[in-house]
Amino acid sequence: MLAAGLMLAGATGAQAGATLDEVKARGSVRCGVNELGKALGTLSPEGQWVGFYPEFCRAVAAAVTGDKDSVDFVMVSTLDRFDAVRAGAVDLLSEASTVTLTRDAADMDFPAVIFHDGQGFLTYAKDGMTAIKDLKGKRVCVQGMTTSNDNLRDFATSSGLNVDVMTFTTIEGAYAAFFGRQCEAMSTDSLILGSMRLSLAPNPADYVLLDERISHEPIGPVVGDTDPEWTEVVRWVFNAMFNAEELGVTQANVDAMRADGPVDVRRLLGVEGDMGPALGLDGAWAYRVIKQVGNYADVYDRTIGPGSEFNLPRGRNALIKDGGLLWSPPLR
Amino acid sequence: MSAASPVQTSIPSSTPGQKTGGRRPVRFGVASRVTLTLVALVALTVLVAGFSLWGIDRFRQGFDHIALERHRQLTSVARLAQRAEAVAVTAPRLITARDRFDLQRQEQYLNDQLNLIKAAFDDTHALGIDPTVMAEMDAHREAMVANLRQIIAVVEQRISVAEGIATHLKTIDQAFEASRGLREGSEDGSRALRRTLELMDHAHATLLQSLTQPYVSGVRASERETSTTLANAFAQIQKTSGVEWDGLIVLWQAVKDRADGPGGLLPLRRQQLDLALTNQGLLIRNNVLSGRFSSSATNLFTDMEADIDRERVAFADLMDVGVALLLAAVAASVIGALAVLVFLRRRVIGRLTGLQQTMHARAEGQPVPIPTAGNDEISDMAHSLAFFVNEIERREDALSEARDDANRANDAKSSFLANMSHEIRTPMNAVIGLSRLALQTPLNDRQRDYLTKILGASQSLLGIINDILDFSKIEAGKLDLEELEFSVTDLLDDVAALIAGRSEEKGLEVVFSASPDLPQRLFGDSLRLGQVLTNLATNAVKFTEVGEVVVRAEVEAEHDDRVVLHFSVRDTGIGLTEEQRAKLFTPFTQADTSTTRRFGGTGLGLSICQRLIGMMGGRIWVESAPDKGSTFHFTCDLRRARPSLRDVARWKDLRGTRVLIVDDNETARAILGEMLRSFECTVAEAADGASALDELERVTASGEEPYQVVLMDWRMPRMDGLEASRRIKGRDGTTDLPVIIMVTAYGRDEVIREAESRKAIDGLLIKPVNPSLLFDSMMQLIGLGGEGDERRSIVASLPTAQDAVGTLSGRRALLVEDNVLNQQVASEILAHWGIAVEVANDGREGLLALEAAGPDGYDMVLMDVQMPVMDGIEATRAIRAQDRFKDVPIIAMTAHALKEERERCLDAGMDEHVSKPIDPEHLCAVLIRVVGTRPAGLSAAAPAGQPAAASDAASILPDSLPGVDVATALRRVMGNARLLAKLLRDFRHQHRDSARDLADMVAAGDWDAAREAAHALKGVAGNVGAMDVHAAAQALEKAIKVERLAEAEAALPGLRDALAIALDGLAVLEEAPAAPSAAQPPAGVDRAAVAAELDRLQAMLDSFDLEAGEAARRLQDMLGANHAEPAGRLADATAGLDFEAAATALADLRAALDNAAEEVVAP
Repeated sequence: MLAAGLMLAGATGAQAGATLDEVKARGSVRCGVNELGKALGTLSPEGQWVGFYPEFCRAVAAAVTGDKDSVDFVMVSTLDRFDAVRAGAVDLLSEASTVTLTRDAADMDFPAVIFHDGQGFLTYAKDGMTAIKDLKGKRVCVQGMTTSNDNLRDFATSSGLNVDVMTFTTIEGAYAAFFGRQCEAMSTDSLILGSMRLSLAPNPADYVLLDERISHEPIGPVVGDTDPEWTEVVRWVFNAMFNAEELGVTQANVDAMRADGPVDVRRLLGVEGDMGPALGLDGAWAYRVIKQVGNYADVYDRTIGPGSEFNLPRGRNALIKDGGLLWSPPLR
Repeated sequence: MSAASPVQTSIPSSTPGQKTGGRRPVRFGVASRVTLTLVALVALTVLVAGFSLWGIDRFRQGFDHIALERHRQLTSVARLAQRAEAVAVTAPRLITARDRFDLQRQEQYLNDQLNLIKAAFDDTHALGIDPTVMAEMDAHREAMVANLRQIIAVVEQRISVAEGIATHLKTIDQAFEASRGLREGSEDGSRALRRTLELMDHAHATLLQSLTQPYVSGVRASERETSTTLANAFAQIQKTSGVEWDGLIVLWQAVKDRADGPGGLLPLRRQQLDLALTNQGLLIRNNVLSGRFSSSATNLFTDMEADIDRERVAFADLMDVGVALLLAAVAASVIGALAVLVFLRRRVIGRLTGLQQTMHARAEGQPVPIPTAGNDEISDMAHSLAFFVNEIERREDALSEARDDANRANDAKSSFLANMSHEIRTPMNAVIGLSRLALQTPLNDRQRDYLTKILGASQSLLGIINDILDFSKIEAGKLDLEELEFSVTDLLDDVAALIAGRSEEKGLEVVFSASPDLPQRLFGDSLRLGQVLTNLATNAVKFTEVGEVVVRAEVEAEHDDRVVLHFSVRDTGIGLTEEQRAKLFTPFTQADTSTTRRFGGTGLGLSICQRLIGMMGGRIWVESAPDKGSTFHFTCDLRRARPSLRDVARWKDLRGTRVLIVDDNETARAILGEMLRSFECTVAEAADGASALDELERVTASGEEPYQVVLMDWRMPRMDGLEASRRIKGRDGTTDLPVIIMVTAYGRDEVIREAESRKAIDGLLIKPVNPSLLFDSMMQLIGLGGEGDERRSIVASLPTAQDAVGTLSGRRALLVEDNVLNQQVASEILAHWGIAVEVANDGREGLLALEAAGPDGYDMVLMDVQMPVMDGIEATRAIRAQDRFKDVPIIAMTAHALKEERERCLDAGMDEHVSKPIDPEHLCAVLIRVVGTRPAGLSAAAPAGQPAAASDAASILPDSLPGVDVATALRRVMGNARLLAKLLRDFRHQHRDSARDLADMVAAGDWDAAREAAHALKGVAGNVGAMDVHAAAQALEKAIKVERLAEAEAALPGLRDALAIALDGLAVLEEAPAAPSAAQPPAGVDRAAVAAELDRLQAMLDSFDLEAGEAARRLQDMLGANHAEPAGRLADATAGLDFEAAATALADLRAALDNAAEEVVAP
């Protein structure tokens, strides 16, 4: 009964606070993830979702359920990802979704922007292309139903480069075509391109990611827009991760900081103030996030940053204080 | 040419071929060039063919590479990719394996596939594919295999988990089956029993439900529920007992054992879900790996394709290059062929053509150089041709040199002969001339005899010399015949005169007979004709002791304007034998060597005659027999001249005149009679003096008209002509004495003397009598000059001399002659005719004398040709070069009797030519002809003057001017005072600055200009009579000529002073013309005519007519000295085409004329 009720609630959860309760009751967060290569998100041969985006699923799970592993990863595709959100099949979508007006307006919320990406081009090194202008007259593969596709078509029209856009329905199809040399370039968010190169390229060094970007792609998690409380919870989990980085609270020092950190840190970690209850969580939610998953930099470095095979510099995705675009409103 | 000369001189026998082979082994000839070009073409072709073969080989290799190696590689890689795909596909099959057997089967299939892929890899090793790529692919393969092994392991786990779950479920189901008894009796059993059964069912349901949970969280929830449910059930069980409890506890225990705890159904279910995720992850990994492998293969494939494409492009490029090369080779071949063609055409055919044309040109004598440029076969040929041509030319030159040598030798001979003749003639001239002169002086008979013999001997010697000269000239072909108008009768006269002496001596009668139809005037070389005739006549006289010589001239044939004359000379001499006749015209032979001794002579005469006649288009032959005399005939073809008016007119005046011919020779009578009858005279004849007297008596007695003329032969038997004449004149009672003309062939001096002393005869005719001479004599004696004074009548036989006195007397002659004797001869002859002679010793002196005297200083110049310092030709040229002397008659005197000599003289500007020794009569005739037409010079004209001019002069010129000899100057301009005034004014204007200019020139050392200026000034001053200036200028010129500065500077002041005086004095002339025109009315001017001329001139000026100048001069002439100033200005302006100034001058002239007219009217 209880289980059935929970199931029912999960299926129809359309009222305030329902999602949070449901998750708590279930004891796990259903998180939609996509196969985006091992740096961004993939199901490892060990059966674990690894990479940048799944880590944020775990962060939310750590905050809400107390255990970062209390995540039911739901593998979605680019085609059905938003359907999954809207249908409530997932509590949260954590993959490379670009924040756009139409998406935001269409039954979804984007609680945070966690990465500023741009659309780039992956080319085969032996073709000798070094800049976008070299794409003139070339075939470019792209996946449909993405901003990448829209951008590329706009670009193809406006640049006058006369590129031949080859649109594929699935991401697998697109990359199969590109790595099968059916097109001279693959175009989508540069982060995805880099990740896919690491995963799919027989030899990553054989492929070159052109430096130029033809768009700005602000990336963030997606939730349904029927449960503002849940949206807030998710938003502040991310804010907490930014805030922790800003405050210098890391996975490594979180315990020490919790003991004798400054007031901001202690407020963040739930030693002081009522930040947890305000969200319907306990006071240590942020502490668990940092402790179990890490702050934003910890996640970044571990998955795509200097500590990873990807080795992508922070660039624009540094905090404002470091000259980047990421920031968090104060936790108070 | 220069290239050819060494060939010519060094090795004339060498041929170009030898030269090529021997001396110049290496060179770039036509053959070399053509060969080289062809070799180049062949080399090019071989090269291109080689390249093409190489290219084709490369292409074939490339094709093989692509077709075999690459193709195999591709096939192999494709197979590899295919195998990889097949392997990748096994992953899902593995994952979906139903059970262990299925898995085993799939695994074995996988192993087969792996073996295949391994084999495929092995295949690729042998194909030489990039090993690093293959290593990469191998790594991918291994990763894939590892992945698959993992999948197999996981699938095995999954299968065992599933088996575990199935076992548990079976056990649980059996437990529930076992509890059926309890359940069937539950309605009767305890509530706890029922409750426990419900809870157990729920637990059973939860367990079953957990099998459908997709997420671990759900399984955990089931676990929690099951645990709770089982705990609750246990609690209920404790409420039961007995059988119920026994049964229930067995069930509960069974469920609890299978469901919960390690290895229970629910943990297995969780493991199953985890394994599913792991499977999924492995599958994803498999996808990634197979994708990588496939991408590797694709990359390899694509790279190979690209390589192949590159190779293809490279081969295509190669083929393109090959094609381009082939085309280039074709083009090069065509161009090469064209080059050979052009070369052949331009350098070979062109040059051959050029050579050919050059040869033609050379053959035509143009000095075109043979183009031997270059160093090839053609230039060899050209060299050979040049050699050949040069050799021909050299031989020609040698020939022409030899010919020239011969000619020079001949010329030298001729020249020698001419010089010889000159050298001999010069003294001969002196001898003959002086003898003649001496004979004119009072002499005793012995002296006269000697002199006469000297004269005769000299003339004979001269004849011999002339013969030799003539013959040599004829032989040398240098004798040219003249084509001049002459009179046949004159010719016969001359011949007669020449032989008269000899025939007189021998007492032979020489009769000249010219047929009346003989044309008086003909064209031809009368001199040569006369020579032939004289020769024949002389011979006739020479070989005739007794009898007569008849010279006859008649017309043999006439056609158009040509006349063939037939002359014959018949003698009554020794005659000729047949043999002699045969040798007669052979040079240097005479009829008989003995006759040579007897009669003397060179034996050239007849040879010369024959040749001359031949040249005149006639022939000469002889009829003769020994002791029967001989008759020489010859003909000549001459052109008829138009008869002169005199010839026609003469007959009328003597018509009807009665003439008595007295001669003992019947032939002579007949000839004279014939002539007279042709004059339409009435002629009677008498054979001797006595019959003549009888006839006269008879006429007187009979009352017939008396004879007006008696032609009396001198030598007649019994009573000679003189005696007869005396008797006729001495006849009493006759008032109308006839005029007696003595006709004689000899001793004219003697006759004249006799005639003078006896005053019996009125005239003298020397045989042969020609009609003209006869006519003239008769006209003179009975017509115009019937009462003529004695001297004139006596010397009627010397009409030219007579004329000479009239025409030539008072003339001034300049004799330019280096030989003193000849000077004397000529001077005496000229003086004899009253000519004043000045002598210059050579051409230069003559020139200077003439320049000093001015153009009117001499009426004639007699110019020897051969002179030292400056010969006559050069002197003549120098004289003629000066314009003012262009009309001075110059007569050449030369011993060179050659025609070309004469022409040379005439070419140089001389007017006439006389041969030395001078024949006075000929000279006289020439002088009259040349000088006679000329107005008398200063010596003759000045005294006479012109009354009109004199009065004119008075009005224009003052009688005297300082420094100017007006009278002399006036004479020089024939008394034309106006002209002189103009000349003087011009002189004043032109030489105002001459002294200074000359000083400047001298100071500057410009001798040439100074000499010219001084000379010009001297000439002009002399002409206008400024004699002081003339002298000063002459002095200066002399100084300048020797280029002595000091002398020139010394002479300059004299000239300056003289010029100043003269020019100052001439100032009066500037105003002078105005005075007379103002004082005197323009009496000599036809005012109306002047006005008309003025109007015409005005119109001309208005229309800018270029003829205005002429009109202005005409007007000036009409006005004479009147209004000279405006008229002169008008003339000058029109001459200068300054029409504006001319119009002003014309207006002034009109005004002046009007003023003058008013003045005339006013008084």
